Amino acid sequence: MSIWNRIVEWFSDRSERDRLLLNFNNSAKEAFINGMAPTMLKAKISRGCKEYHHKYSSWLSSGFRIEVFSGRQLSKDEIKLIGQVILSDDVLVRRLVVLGWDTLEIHCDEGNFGLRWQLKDFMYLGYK
Amino acid sequence: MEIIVNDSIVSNTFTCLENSDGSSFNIWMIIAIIELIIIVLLLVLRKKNNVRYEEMRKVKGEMLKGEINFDNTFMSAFHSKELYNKLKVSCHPNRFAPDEEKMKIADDIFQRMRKYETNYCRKHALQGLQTQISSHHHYSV
Repeated sequence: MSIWNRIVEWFSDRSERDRLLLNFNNSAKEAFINGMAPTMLKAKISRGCKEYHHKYSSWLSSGFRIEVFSGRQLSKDEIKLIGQVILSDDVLVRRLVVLGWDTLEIHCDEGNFGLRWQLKDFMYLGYK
Repeated sequence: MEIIVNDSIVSNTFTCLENSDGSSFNIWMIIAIIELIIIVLLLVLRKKNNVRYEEMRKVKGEMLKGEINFDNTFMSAFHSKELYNKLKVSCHPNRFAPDEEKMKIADDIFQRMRKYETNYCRKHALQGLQTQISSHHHYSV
């Protein structure tokens, strides 16, 4: 594989990552507007956790961070449920892993408390 | 008037020979050998990396297949718990006793429901199945 192909692939991965984030955020916005979701979620890229690195991990920004706009500090169970929903979607988890993410972080807009998971653990079997 | 001058070519040669000693020659040779070793190592590693990279590309291609349903993700995140609580009562196999056949089907649905605890769409489908069983049953569900 030539260096040129690698460069092209890197750019295509970047564009795929951006597209996934855009789709997630647009769907979240629509779900919130339609009343399907009581709070709005927003996906962002974060630095991630170095301990969770795998061979597909992005160099710098390997964290998939979801911010919950709830206006209050959510309980651990509430954050955990959102995390479980994301992690139970095999297709989504696999896509996140191959696109360079290794950490899933969920935080709310209020407070400093959040949860994080290693995506690799949920890649093949899904949650449970 | 004649001017006596030194032979510039000969004098330059003497200067070069005076400056050059054995040690500088050795240093450049060592650097060249190190460069050669690095080039050979890079070539070997490149071949290995290419094989690994091709494997990674294949796996990546496989994993990028499939559609992501974000609507289901958001519905699951906020509504799967209440649907689960509702279904775990109405789908409990004991509700269909003593009909063994229906109890078996209800047990299967109950197990799948627990497996898809956080998946709204699948649980919704299971709710449909549960309604089909209960519609043929004398107990109201």
